[in-house]
Amino acid sequence: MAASIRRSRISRISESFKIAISEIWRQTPGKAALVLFILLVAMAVIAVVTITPDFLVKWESASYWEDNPVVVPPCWVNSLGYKTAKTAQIYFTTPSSMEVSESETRYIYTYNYTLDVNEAPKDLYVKAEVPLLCEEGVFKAPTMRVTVERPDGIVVLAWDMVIEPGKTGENVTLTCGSLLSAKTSKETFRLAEVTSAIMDKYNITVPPEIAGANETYVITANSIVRTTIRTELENKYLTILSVFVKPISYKISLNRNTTILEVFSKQINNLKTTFLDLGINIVLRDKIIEALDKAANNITWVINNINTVTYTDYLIAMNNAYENLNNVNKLALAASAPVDVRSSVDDLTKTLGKFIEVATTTPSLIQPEIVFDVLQGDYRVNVTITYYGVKKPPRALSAKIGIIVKGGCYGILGTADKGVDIATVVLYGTPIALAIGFATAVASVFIGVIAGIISGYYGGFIDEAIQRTVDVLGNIPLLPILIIVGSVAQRTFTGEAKSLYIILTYIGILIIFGWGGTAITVRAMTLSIKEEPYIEAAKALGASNTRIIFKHILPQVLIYAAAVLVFNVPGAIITEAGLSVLGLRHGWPTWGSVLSSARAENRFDVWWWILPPGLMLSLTSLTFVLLGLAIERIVEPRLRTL
Amino acid sequence: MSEPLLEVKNLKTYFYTLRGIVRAVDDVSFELYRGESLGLAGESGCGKSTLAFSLIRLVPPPGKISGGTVIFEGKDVTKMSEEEFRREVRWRGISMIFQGAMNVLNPVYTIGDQIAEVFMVHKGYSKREGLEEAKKLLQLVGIEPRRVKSYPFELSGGMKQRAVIAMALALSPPLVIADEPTTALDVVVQAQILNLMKRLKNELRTSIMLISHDLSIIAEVADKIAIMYGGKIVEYGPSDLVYNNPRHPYTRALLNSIPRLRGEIRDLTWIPGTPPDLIAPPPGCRFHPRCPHAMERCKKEEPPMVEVDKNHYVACWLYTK
Amino acid sequence: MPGAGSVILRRGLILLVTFVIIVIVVAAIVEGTGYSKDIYEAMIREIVNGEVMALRRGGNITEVFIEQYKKNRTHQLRVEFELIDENGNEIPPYRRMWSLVYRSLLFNFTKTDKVGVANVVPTVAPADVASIIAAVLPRTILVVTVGEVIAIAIALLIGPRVAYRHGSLADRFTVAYAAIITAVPLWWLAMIFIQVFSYNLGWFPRDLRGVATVLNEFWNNPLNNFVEILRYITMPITAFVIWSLGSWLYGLRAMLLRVIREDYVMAAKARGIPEKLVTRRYVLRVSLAPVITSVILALAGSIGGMIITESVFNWPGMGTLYYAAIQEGDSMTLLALTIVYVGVYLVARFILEILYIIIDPRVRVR
Repeated sequence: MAASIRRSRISRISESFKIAISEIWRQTPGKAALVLFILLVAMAVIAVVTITPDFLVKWESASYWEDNPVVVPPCWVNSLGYKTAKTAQIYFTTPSSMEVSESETRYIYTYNYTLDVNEAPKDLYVKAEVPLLCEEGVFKAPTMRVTVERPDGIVVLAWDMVIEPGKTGENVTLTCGSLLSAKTSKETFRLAEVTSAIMDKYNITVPPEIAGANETYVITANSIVRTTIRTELENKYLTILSVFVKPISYKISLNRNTTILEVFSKQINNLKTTFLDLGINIVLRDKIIEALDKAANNITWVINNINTVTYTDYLIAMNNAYENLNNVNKLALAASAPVDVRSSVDDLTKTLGKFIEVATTTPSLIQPEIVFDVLQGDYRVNVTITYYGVKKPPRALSAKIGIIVKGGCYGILGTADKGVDIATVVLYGTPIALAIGFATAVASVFIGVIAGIISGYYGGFIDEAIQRTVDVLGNIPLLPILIIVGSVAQRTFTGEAKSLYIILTYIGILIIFGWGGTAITVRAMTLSIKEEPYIEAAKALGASNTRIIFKHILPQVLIYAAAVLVFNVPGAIITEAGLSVLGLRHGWPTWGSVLSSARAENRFDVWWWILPPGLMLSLTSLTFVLLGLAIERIVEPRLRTL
Repeated sequence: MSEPLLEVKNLKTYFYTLRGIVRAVDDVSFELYRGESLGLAGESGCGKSTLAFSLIRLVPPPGKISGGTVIFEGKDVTKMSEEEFRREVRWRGISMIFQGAMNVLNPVYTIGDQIAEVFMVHKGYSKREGLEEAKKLLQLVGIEPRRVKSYPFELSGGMKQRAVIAMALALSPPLVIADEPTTALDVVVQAQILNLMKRLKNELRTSIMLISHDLSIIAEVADKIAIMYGGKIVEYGPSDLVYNNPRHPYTRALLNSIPRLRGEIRDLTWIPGTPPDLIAPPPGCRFHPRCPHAMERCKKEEPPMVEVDKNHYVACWLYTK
Repeated sequence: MPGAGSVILRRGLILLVTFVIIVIVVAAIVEGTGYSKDIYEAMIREIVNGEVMALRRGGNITEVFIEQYKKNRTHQLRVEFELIDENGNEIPPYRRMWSLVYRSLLFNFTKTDKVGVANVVPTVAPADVASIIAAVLPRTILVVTVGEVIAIAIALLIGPRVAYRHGSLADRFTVAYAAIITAVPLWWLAMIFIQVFSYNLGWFPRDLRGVATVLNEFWNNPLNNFVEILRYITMPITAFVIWSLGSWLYGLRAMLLRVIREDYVMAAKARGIPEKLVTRRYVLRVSLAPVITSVILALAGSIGGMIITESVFNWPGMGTLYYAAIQEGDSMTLLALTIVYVGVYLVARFILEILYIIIDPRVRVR
């Protein structure tokens, strides 16, 4: 008998639940709310099932996201016409091929990358974890070679490094098979080789009519061009991205400005005048003048031939002038010329020397202008791990090789600073948000209902006390309390569960300030129900207070409480987000934390950073508000017209 | 006395709801002369109040006057513009005393303000002048003039009703409609209100249209009485004729259901059944499901209004051939 | 207004007691968790270091002397700040908190040395916390008040029109708008505003801190400065109005819909009172009182909504001050802000309760 009553009660409850759902479904806002609600729950479930346990701790460290490009939009913007380079993060556990020869064993890992936009990727690197092989008690550490076959045929040797233990500064005892790790970097990139390869392929040399005949000077001129290219690649293409560029035009010219030459000329003439008036040994003086004349002629020759002179001839002339001035120096010394005169000569000589030095090492006399642009096409990255002198190399190398090309887009929602994948955080933020919201709402409403019923039913002192308390609590603004308590919590809690405690503190404060509203309304409901005649009848029949409360008052109150609960869910979620944005971070990956980092970095210009989390917040809020309204309308049909 | 003050001809007021058309006032006609008072009786939901609101053109949506005419002081008021009606007829020509249970006083203004407002709007009085008039009116209805400063929540039920009456009399209109003026008031106050109304009738020659389900109070005040049932008038005539010789079975039943103080002790009778659904009323005579004398004809055809006595009309097949 | 006086007095007393209770609770939390001990120790270090620097500049002082001085002075200050008593015994927090309560109730906050905090005014550090807050608070109140006034004005304009056309497209659009806009956090709306209007369209400055100088020098060139201020203040006020309008419209509409159906509205029309007058005296006037209570009490609460939004806009008000204090770990300013905020809120509620009593006579007889 009791069992069948219990069963029928359960079936009655599920019946009324089903009716409630279908009622909600009938209204359009209710429909939207239910769909959104199911979506949210689905997201939360997926998140909980797929989360890795250390995500909560690791997600804030930059190293967790280091393979992602930083602050890039989601990849679907490509289909909208905003073209970006692809991001590739390929990890190999088995080599693409293996080559064994007598002295070395090579494991080769190959990846094909297509660059089809006019924008270079943002980074390129290789991470390797290779085992330390040993044979007959001798450890064999491998080398790693990274080459890139470019669409224009150039094969760039990007990196060639030995993978040594102890690189990370640890003192680890090595055993056979222990893993060594290595990562390529800007510093180890072989920019010089890339530069040479480009210069060779595209024939970037100083034209002979500019360079001249002298081999040495030709080499010097070309090395200046090389240096210029190197600097350009370092500055504009962050060194490594030089892999992806080609020169589209170049012009190498000679600086045909004569101003400084004329200054030299004038100064030499001044010296000449000075010496002429000087009372020194005539023989020496004549020699000095002669040398000065020669020097002047050297320079004048360049000036006169400035439009056709080659680099070689220019420098030869300047060197001659320098030699001549040196002579003047020696002669002046021998002639015991006055100190100030001698120092003038010395200064001029030094200046000229400096000029020559600058002309042979920097792009001042030789002026190369090279314009680079992105080389589109198919690239092939080859990573070769080579072991030397291993007689019986393993077929399957237990190595992990990662080839990372950071493009201009990533993922479903793009990335934030530090490369944080926004889609991941948005997904994992869902269960956290729902948990926070429900915990607060359930607790507040639970306490509110109990307090309200007790207050309304029993009256008296406890009623007064509860009412006064709610009154006082209602007069207190929530936000400043949350901020100061949050701030104290941040300082007080330490250790692993710090984030959890901080969030629990927020929830606690919200509950303390949240139960009051429900309590007052429930109290009013209880009071009016208490006056109903059937209550009096029940009492006359001998029903206990508990029975009356549970059988008559509570069911009616619970319907109202359901609506209030649903309404209250978004409040806590948005409050937590707001506090994060204000700077009170707790460390868990919530939607608010993404927005808070946007604020901290002042990146309000990045739409994929600020829109998704905010939309999640708004949609969640909207879902529960609509759901609450739908429940309310079922309870109070009068409101249907509103 | 030649022309009637109020002529209602074939008035129809329907409510166009989602469930169907509610024919609250279905082809009602009567006339009222100056100084005459008419009692409109019937059960709750028979359309009495709707009729009253139709006369002042305040039928709430989704209802509207769907047919017929109302001629007041010789002018067809159903054809007037809203603005003209508001200016000429409302309160100046016809005023209304509402049910005591209705919440007809603005809670945030004093009753003096509200009465004065009528003068300010219709006669252009200043506030001070309006308040002076208000004091006079309050005295007229038996409220101390100093209560001009009181808010409605400070007044008892009876006093509120009297204030409402004072408001209705402000512009001395020729016609005052009183819609259940004594419902929800205790008998002592009820008697006071009725006396007041009788004084109005006698001293000021105001026409009163008294709407009530309580036949006893109608008897006190009305010269003529109309019995409404199911949106139609079923019996209509001078009150002494109707009371002493009710013809329509419904009227008879109503009168029988009033307990009498004197006379022999009888069992109370009542009318079995429920009032008709005004969306789909019974065919033929609307009363036939509850009528002890129902004939075949009653179920099919609606009986016309026929004169059975001097100015005494009935709509019933018992009296028509 | 008889009776109003005692009601006002009672409410005022309750609010005052509430304030004191809050100060006590906050002081207890702050002392009990050692949070304020950090503040004091930091301040003591600051003072001692400053004095030591002055001593060093004075001339020949030995290091030994300096060490001794530091020790003595620190001890002395610790006694002064009530961390320990004269004998060196630690004073427990539950005794220390009372002096904190006392000082807070008198709004006696000390100085801050954090540059970021002082920059909000802007002024130089170290600066007096109380005067920083006093300089910064009016800017918040300015935006919130102007915003609410505009929102109320628009709501009063649109509300009756929409309520009279119940069920029409305009009506349903209004409800949808209200539902959606209250789900959106105001501070996120601010972020979108900044992206669209400051970055993409370039209509407004990206960082609103600049308005502080314009405000401070307003009277030098009122007309020009007024236009300048408009350039800064338009975004925050617009965002606030758009957001606040949602709850005003919904509340006003709901209340109006209920009141329009009331008997006294119909009775007024029966009396021949023209439509406009009925709307004003019978619908709006009656609706206003309850709507004003619920939503205008939110005005004191809108400060809260505005705080985070302000920090997003970098508008140099309470919000940005809060953000700076949190970023720089300036506990003293945070504590002071809490006390001031709560105080202002309670005062605002008090004023609004008086307003409510004036508007709705029914409340006076309680």
